[in-house]
Amino acid sequence: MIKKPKNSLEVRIISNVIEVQDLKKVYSLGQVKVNALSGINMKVPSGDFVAILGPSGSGKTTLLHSLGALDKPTSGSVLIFGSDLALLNDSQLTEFRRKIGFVFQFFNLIPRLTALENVELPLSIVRVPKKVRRKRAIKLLETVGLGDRIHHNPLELSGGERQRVALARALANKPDFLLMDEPTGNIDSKTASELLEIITTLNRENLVTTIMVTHDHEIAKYAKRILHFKDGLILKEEVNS
Amino acid sequence: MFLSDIISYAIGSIQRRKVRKGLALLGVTIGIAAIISLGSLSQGFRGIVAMQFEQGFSSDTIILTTGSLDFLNTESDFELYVNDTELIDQIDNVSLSVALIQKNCFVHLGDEELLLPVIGVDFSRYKELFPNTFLTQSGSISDFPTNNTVILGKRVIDPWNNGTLLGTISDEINITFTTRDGFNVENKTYTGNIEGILDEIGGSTIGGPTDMGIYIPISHAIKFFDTTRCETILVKLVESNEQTIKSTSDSIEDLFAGQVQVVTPTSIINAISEIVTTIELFLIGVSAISLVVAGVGIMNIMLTSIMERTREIGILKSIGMKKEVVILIFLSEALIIGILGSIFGIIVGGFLAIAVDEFGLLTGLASGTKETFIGEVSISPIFNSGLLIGSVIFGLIVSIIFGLYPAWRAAKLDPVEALRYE
Ligand SMILES: Nc1ncnc2c1ncn2[C@@H]1O[C@H](COP(=O)(O)OP(=O)(O)O)[C@@H](O)[C@H]1O
Ligand SMILES: [Mg+2]
Repeated sequence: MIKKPKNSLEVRIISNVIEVQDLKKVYSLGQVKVNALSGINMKVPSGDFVAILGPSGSGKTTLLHSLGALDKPTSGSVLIFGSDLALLNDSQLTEFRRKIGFVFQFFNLIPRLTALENVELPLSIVRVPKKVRRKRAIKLLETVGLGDRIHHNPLELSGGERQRVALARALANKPDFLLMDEPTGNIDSKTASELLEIITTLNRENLVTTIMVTHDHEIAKYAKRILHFKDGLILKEEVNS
Repeated sequence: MFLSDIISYAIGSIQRRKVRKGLALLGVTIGIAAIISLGSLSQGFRGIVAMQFEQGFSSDTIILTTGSLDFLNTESDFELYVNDTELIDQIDNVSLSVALIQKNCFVHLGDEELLLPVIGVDFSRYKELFPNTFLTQSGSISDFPTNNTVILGKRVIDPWNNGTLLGTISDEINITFTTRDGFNVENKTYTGNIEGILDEIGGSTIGGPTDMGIYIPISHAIKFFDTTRCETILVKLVESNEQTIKSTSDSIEDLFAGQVQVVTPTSIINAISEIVTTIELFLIGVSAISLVVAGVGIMNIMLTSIMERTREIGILKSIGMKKEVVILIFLSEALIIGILGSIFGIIVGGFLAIAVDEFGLLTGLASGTKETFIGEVSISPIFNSGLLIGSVIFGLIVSIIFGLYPAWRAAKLDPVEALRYE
């Protein structure tokens, strides 16, 4: 589990998995300043499925990296189960990442490892014994429909299959929430909808809190809520029926 | 992450870049092989030198010479004479002294003509001094030899060490000594009679019998060489404690007004040890440098590999791998290369050293010492555990040191930057 605030005087009811307050990120390229995030406020309660919909370059990836404890914002705060990521040191951030499932647009699998080994990797990082992690990795690959592909290398798999391996890997450590950065960006629409079916099922049945970034309206429709994103700001929120 | 998982992850990535990592490994192998082969050969050299002196020379014998014991012979003007032994015999603690007249002569034996050292010596005293090596395998050494009595070392009669003998007991041997008086070069020849052939000795020691030596009675040597000058006087003491050796050497030096060198066996061994140590250090230093070069090779390859694997490192960090573990992964890659390189290096270096010995590649060096007091040596490698362990440890230290920087570079990569890397 993710650490709760240590200070017992700080009595606060934490109902949100993620809470973002006035988050800003400025990239400085020499003289030029790029405002990737210009003041984001959002709350994600447990079990939610949020789509962040916006055009390319609007800052979606930057936001997701901040939520995933991968990147530090310029100002504002990201609270995960009430703890401010800004107050954590490097090694605590690493601990946090272990409980966050990240699915990247470009799959980011390790090419020399098989599907099974890729899924096992986060488990071996947290010292899950060999037998246990193998069993769990096989089960996850079966869940995403790749039970017959476990010994294949990523290079021998299609885009959709790779993304499903990446999803299985993201789920390996029973994450507190799932972050997906354009998971369908590099796969065809039929495979994309198959993947989204798996994700919605996980959200509905296993109550996996999910935040998904996309620029595709059709894909965003799978979520419970859509946050419309532009130039580093949330323009409006839309609740799917 | 479990250590076993870290190691198998590292092995996996080494296997992926076989050629490149193989080259890094080759570098370490060469470095270690150089240390092992040169180290074992120089230790073998040291061993042989020490052994020869211990065998052939009891520590109660000291040597008097006018020459210098350096490899660079600087001749002294001072001269020793055969009858100096009479003076030396009177010194306290001296039990016996033997003068040696040694000249190189052309020797005609069978159908061969050879240039060999001919040594004039008092047979009975020499026997007393070297009871274990001045021994015949055939014939005998008379205490009252005649003028043409000749005793041969084993290799003189059997020069190729293959049983083809140039002669046998009672055969004649012609010894020719060449002198020069101004422009007048004169050959003097006499015909000796082989009365004894020595047992094979193997090595040789200063003043001691050698397999290449030809021994004639001292009285005849004085006549034939027309001199009473001698190069060396060997002095046997009544006991071998340091104090006796020291005080007797001092008395002898006083006798000759400090103009002679008094050499004790320990001082020879020490002098040689010093030379061998210097050579050894030089050789090991050279091979150590080659190992450091190999280390730079490891670093180069690791840095290239980290560039290529930037994205992989980003992935590992984004799924929660700690910095320390990233360091360990890359360090173990370097270390595995170091360990394998050391193992291969020991094998290759061992074979190299043995091959050098087997194929006699060092006979040049070995026979180069033939004319010196060390005598002819053959060098066989000695592999002691200190050398093996030391070189492996050094190999590992080098690979750790040169692996550390790349590993640290990998670990400090920013995950977001790394993931963005194409
Ligand atoms: N490391 C960086 N350095 C400079 N500018 C960056 C960097 N990362 C992103 N940006 C800029 O920030 C803006 C938002 O980028 P990003 O979050 O990747 O957008 P999206 O994921 O919505 O396409 C873009 O204008 C991009 O050029
Ligand atoms: Mg993006």
